[in-house]
Amino acid sequence: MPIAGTSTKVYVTATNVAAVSSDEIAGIRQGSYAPKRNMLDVSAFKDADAFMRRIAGLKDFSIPLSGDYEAGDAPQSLLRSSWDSGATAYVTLLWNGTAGVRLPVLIESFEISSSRDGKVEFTASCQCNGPVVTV
Amino acid sequence: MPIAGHKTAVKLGGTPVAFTNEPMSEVTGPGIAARTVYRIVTAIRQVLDPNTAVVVEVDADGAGAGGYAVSAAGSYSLNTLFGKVTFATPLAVGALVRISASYIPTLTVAEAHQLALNAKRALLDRSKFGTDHMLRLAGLKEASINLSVWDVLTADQDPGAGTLTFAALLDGGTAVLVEVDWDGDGANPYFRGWFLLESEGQESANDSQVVGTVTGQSTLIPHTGRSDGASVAFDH
Repeated sequence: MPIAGTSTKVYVTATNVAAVSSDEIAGIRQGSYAPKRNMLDVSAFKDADAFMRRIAGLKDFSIPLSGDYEAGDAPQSLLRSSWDSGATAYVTLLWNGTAGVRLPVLIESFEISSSRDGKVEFTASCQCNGPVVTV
Repeated sequence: MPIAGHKTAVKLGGTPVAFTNEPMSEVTGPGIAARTVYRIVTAIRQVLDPNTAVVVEVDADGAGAGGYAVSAAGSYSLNTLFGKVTFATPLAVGALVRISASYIPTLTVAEAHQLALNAKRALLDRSKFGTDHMLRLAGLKEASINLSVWDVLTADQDPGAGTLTFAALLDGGTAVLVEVDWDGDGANPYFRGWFLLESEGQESANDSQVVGTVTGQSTLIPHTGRSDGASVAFDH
């Protein structure tokens, strides 16, 4: 069943706990979750059929978030403070507003941009730092 | 609340000004132990000059029988970008704190019209046997900045007696303080950081304005007489 993007909710918490309404990040307009798996090449001379063979290695994911910068928003501030301290933060993505994933991340970058004829906007790049929790 | 970009204020650090016995007030909040963090009260004096020694004094009984005593440099950490002192040991109830140093006044970049700040962190792989997912450790922090102005890069950004130009900063390899007030309201939260200018560009076209662009990379400025220093920080 298709889901309207307006249903999506994005939260951030400092610990691995269920997010509440006050943890919802204001200003977010775009987010994505891209889980992947490191592919390890195990192809060998002995494989006569010329096809690649692989085994699955480490799991990994990245979460780019973007939207309007909001100076007074506590969850946005948590993203910045987590970048500053190097602490793990927990991003919860609920695609339909009720079910999704909670992801331990390190904030790799936090970019803020402003232009005289636009809005102050931000993008944050978050990288995996532990196992995914289904919520 | 979203912010219209035209409100953003970008400032550069100017010539330091000495001050003495500036009062500091306690900072409280989640995760902050009582009577450990103190901040310079006067907002314009909160950016400290790293090339001037700092003297922090504490009156332990708050203007009672005793007076102010100089705190040992190792008894506190210093946040020179936002005028904060964090004591390793909480002070007594009612203690007063003051500071003598030099502050850096900030000067508006009058013709700034576009800015991008990117705060980055190196992430170090610490994955190990027995876990099937990536584990990482936060490494070095840094920031880069990209600024555009409707002006020549030799324009003086200091309306007072001093002279401050982007061209001279690049030529001299001198670090400069950059402050960004995203909503231009003159109050925190700001971003502040020390940057070395990496590149500049000047463009002109007969159907457009003369445009100057500046990029910079952050650097850490050690504080005189201390082992800590300042690089970049959000005041969150």
